[in-house]
Amino acid sequence: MIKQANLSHEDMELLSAYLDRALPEKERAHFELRLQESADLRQALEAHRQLQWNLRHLPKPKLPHNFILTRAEAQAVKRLKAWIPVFSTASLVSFLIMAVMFVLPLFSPVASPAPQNLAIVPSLSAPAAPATDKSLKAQVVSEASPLPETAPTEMVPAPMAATSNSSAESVDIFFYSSQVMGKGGGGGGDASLASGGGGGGGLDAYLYPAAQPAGNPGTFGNAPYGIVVPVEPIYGKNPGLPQALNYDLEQALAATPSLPPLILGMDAENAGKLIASEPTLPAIIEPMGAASTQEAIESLSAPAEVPLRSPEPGLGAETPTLRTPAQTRTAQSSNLANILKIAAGTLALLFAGLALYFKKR
Amino acid sequence: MAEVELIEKALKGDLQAFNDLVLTYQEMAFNLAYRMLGSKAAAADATQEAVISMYRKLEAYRGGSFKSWFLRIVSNECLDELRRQKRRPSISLDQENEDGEIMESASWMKDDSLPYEDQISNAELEKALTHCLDGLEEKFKTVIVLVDVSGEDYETVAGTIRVPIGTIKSRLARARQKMQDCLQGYGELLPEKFRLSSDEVDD
Repeated sequence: MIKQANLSHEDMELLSAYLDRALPEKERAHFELRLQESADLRQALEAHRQLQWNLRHLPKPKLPHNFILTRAEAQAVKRLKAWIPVFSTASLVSFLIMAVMFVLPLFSPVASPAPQNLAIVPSLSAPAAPATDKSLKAQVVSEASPLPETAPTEMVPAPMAATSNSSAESVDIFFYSSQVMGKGGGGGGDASLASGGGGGGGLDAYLYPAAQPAGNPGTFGNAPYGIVVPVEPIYGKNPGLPQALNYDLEQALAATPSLPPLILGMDAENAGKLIASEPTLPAIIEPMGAASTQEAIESLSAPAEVPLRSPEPGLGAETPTLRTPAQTRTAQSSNLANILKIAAGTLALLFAGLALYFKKR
Repeated sequence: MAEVELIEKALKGDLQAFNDLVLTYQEMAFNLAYRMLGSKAAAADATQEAVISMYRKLEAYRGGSFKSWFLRIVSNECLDELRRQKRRPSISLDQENEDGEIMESASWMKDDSLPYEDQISNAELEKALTHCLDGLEEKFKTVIVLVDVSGEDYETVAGTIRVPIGTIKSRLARARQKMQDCLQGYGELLPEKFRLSSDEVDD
């Protein structure tokens, strides 16, 4: 009978090495002295020796067959092996493409599209405008309105509007759109403020350019609906947009009695009232509360597409968005870049997986 | 033909030389795989995979002990298989016969030259040893199978599993201790001469 002795791990290690004759001569002699003194060590050594003997004399299983390779198997292995560098290289190339796609935009001179997205144009109310207090005043631009024909000829970035001089106190911020989708046929695409035609299909709403001569609100194309987004000023007081831009709602509505404006950012109740009152709209649209206005700003400032409400039922099932042409192009190229990144990453992983698979096989 | 010569020829693409090397070590490889995996079918698969893997990686062989290199490939295949088994645990502790069928008793290890009592004892002992080996962690099992079952020395094992000799010593001591602990649990089931007892011995 063999006793299972309680020994330290160091002793067990020495004992194990002694059993395998793996101890240096000096340590071996020292351990043998300890063996003579300790019955526990002797018992443990005997137990280990017996275990080792038993393990070494476990019956050896018969080989089921030889494990040599036939010529066909060897050729198959070589064929598989030939794919490894191919997939490894393909994986590396895909990974490099993906890396370049990530790094390239960092060095691109193209400005980030975010600040231009749905720019909020600060403007000062014209002295003639009746509502010049610090509350917001909705302003309407209707393309069908019989406005003077001096149309803006180019788009001006929104921040430039803040450079004109005016002493007026109130600050109005608004969006203009020349287009609402789904109304009428033909003429898709982007209709700028100054251009005529193209009442239908396009989804992009443009900012009205700020460089507008005073007293001349300009024409805004033939789109049947104007879009007004009353929001609170976020850039502080504007030194003054041209007076023409502060075209009053009343005036605009009076000029376009048959066309209801689409008011964005209004709460549902007021918007419903407004739309229901078509074609003779209330002269004054109350400004929104601070909370809802802030929500409107945030939602419109977000890079995601912002849906516009259709002014009439059945005007179209699709949801238009507010975008400049530059934004559209930027968004498209950004989407393409993202798709390419994902594709390159997926291919890199796929090829790496295939290379590993063939390596494993 | 000397091993070095066979290796040189195999490196040049001589399939016959490669197969001669396989024939030299296949029994040792299969035995190692069998003790690691506990199943003949799994051991045969692992050994075949190791041979194919060895042929594919032949160009990566950089000299040294060919046996260690082959054993390393076999033990890696076995470790991969053990991990796969852990993910899909469906392995029976029963033994398989030549046709891969599970056998009710350990008659597969019966040695007709021994008296009946000894045959039973051997069967019980092997069952206990196999069970205890299967219960070891992979790192302990690999070392104890290579040293105690296959009879490799520390240097070969260190080269095979690529750990320092000090680690081999430590793992081996732990593995043996765990085996002793496990076998002690069998108690009366083992033949008396194999029983390990701590309560019947007077110092």
